[in-house]
Amino acid sequence: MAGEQSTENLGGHEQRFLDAYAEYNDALFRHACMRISDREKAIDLVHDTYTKVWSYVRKGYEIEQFRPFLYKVLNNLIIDTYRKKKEASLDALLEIDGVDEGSFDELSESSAEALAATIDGRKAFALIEELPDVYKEVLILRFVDGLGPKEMAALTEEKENVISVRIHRGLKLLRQKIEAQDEFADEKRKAAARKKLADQKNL
Amino acid sequence: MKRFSEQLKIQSQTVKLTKAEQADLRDRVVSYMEYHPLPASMKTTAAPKTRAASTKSQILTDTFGQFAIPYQLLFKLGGVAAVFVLVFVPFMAERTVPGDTLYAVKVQFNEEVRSSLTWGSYEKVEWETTRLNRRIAEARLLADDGLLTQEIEESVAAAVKVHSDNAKREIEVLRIADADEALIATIAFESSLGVQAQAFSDDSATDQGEPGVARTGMLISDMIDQSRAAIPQTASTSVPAYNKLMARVELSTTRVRDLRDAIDGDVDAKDLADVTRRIEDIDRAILAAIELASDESTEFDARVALSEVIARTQRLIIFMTELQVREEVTLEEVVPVVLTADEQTIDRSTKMTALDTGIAAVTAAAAGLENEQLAAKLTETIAALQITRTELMVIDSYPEFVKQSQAALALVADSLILVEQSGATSPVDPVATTTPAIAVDLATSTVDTATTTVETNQATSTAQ
Repeated sequence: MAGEQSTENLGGHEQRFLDAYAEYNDALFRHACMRISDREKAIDLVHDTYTKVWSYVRKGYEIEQFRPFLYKVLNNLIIDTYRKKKEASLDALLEIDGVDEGSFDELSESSAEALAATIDGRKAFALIEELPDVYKEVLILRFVDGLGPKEMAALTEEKENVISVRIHRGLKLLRQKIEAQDEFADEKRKAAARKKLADQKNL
Repeated sequence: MKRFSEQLKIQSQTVKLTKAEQADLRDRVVSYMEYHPLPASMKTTAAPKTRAASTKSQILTDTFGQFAIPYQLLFKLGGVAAVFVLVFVPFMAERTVPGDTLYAVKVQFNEEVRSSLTWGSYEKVEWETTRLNRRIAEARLLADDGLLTQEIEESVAAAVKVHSDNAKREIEVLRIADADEALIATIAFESSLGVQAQAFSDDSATDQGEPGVARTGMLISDMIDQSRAAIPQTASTSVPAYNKLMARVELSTTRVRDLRDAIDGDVDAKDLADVTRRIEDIDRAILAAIELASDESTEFDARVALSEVIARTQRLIIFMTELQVREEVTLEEVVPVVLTADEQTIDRSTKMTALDTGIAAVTAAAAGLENEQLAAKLTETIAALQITRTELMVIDSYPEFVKQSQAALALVADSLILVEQSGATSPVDPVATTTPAIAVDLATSTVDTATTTVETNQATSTAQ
């Protein structure tokens, strides 16, 4: 992503940076907004991401590919935001889920595909914000931003296996939530039907 | 999975920035870039590629255009301008005279800066004296070129007065802190003014001699005379302390030697020998003063001698440093030679021989005169000359000897002229008539020329 300080090939820094801004600002905002569920804060995080990257450019470092670098910076800022909010113990979550190498099914890409095929994407979008961030992070990066496991591993500084396990577990959790929501909706609907029937009998 | 992915992606597309939010975010980022621009080195390297690759349409905002303040160029130009203003202009201004464009820089910048950097009242007196000398030198330069107008002369005279007043004021300040230093400063200042006045008197006299030429420098000359007259006179018993005098003498003589070394090669051998002779005279005077100081009874005389040494040294410095002064007066007029003891003995002998020759000539002339009245007058004169001769034989003081011998030789000369005018055949040997002149020349070694002239005239009128 970012190389050593170089004095060569320093041309067009401003233009390259502005091109990267134009290309990725919307995607970065979307990612941030889905992760933290706060629109204003997401805008601030995107702004901070670009200013930090610009400062890096000013120091003379060469950025070969802006996209992974921008995601990396944004991801770090989001983690910082979580730490400040102390809404959840990220370390605790990592301790629970990050070190578990997972089962064979969880490590298999085809298994994840099979699992994802059972999930309604529209319902998933509504429920994804309820997932713990470690799952939310990988699911958004994978299915919204379209990053591959290798890129995600580099971004999160985790092994690819860990990423695969998280995707699998995230999808599983998401499906559980969808199923729970479906069950809840079904129960609600049944209760409403029963109530309606009872009302008709009373009449 | 593809279906899930597509559905999720389509749903997520609903999360996006509004146009207002996009514009606001872009402005914030661009502003940050403007306030944190790339280093100049990166811009310089990037410039060719940027121009080649980008177009105007790629620039997002007008404020972030191809606009860069050339700080390096501005700093370089500023440096060059500063060197020009602070070094070149003042350097060129030093050569100006009143009426030149840069003259104000010389007087109101160069000299004022130096004034503000001059510490100590004595140094300030010296600096004001230097400034005064500069003004006079400028006036002389203009006068030589025929450019000294009435207006410029008035301004120079005013400047002379200002610098003179400043020097006197500093002397008064110095007097409160250190009376001895004030006395020494007064001696030095008076000596400088004396030399300038002497040079101007010669200058004015020269101008007067040319019919139809307006006499220039009168205002300045008068102002110098006024300044000299206004110098606070110290009591005759007020002589600076010996140690203070000796310290100042050492400084002055060191400077004189430095100046002598500096002019070595620029002046001819005779002029250099003249200066060297004056320095030797000064050295002898210092040794004599040291000897006098060793005895308490003559310590006061030593201080007086050292005061005189300071005055002579100052006059010598002015003579060597002021080119215009050198052109107007001779070194002998400014700093007369002081004869050594051997030279004095030889001079005494010469003068006595000349007097004897003169008396013999007058006696011979009187013997052949038919005009009894004139013969009687010459007889009286011869008797007076004989008395004078006897007195001269016992006079210890050399200056007194010179003074009296000069008067006697002048009387001889006048007597012979009277004989010549009476129509009698003058028995005077041509050598004898020149003797008084020789005597007068020698006399200038210790007695002021003007004094000699007055005495000669008096002698002439007496004889007549």
